[in-house]
Amino acid sequence: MTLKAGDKFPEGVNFLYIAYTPEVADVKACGIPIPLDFDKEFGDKTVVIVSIPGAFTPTCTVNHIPPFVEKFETLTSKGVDAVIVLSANDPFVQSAFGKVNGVTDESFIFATDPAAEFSKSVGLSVDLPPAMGTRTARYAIIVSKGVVKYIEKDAKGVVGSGVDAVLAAL
Amino acid sequence: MASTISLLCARNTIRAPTARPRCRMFHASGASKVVAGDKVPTVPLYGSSPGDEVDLAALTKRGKSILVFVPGAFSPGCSARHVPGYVSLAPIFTSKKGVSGIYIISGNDTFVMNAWGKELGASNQVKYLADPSLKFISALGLDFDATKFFGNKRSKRAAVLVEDGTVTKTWIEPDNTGISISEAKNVIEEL
Repeated sequence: MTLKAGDKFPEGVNFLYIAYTPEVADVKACGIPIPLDFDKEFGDKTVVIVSIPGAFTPTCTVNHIPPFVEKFETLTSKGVDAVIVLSANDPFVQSAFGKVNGVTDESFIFATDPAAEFSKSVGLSVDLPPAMGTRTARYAIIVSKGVVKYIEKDAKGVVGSGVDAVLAAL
Repeated sequence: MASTISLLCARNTIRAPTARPRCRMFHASGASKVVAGDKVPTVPLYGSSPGDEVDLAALTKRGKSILVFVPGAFSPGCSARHVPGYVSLAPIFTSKKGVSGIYIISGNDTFVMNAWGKELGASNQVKYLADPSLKFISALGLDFDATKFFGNKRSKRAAVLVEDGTVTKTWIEPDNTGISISEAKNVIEEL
């Protein structure tokens, strides 16, 4: 990866997401995808980005994301303003994944990195042919006021990108 | 004679476009749209996992099957109306119309399709298949550029009747994503 702790977070990063509202609470109801302008929304905040290769895949669903959901309040008590779960799945899938994980907080966002573009640009994408194509790797980044404070990629399993490692780094 | 011919030609051009004979024009995105007479592509789809290759051409070689194409799992029309219609009418498709299998196909990966199937109701009658590279969908000319909402190409919304391995009827939504002719309650009437 080409990004490391101490670097400025790249400018102009845009994701796509569907904002959670009570109207679309049912997994079978849907909102409309809108852009998430990272600089604009989080330029002066502390954000944890957790990236997963695929929504609804075994590890992500069972091991990686639920602990972040369980410890969300611990994260916010340590100064985290928002958690963004990122994957290359489309916003509808990401939104459903968030609902299935029981997330209703508007600061816990399930977003799309379209075509894994941002992740690719910092060397954090992974190719998983033939059935999954190019995806975002499993990683976690802590960005505070536009500066990368922590960045860890896991080639296997959930270690540096897990919630405990992230909490320890805050 | 000449005047009669020119009168006929003039009449032809005034008629609605659907009255003109079907012609296969060059289609910028690849294969031309599936029509009756086409065979089911032998391109593999994926079932319960990325390693579970499904040969739909083989599965639909005998009997009646309905292939339902959707732009995206968990997206508005697909989840709220389109696929649920097929899930709830599946028993009627089977018992009254002799359909042996209903296959829901989309450009999502297998994990997403399986999770979606669990939410909407999979069964012996309704199976969810993934075409993540869109090879199967584009072989039938059903792909369209859905970058704005989905980030890539996806399938048009459509239903296709296959009898003994050959397409016999198609219901392709004219605006790609609306739900009208390809809705289960419409398709079942026309079987």
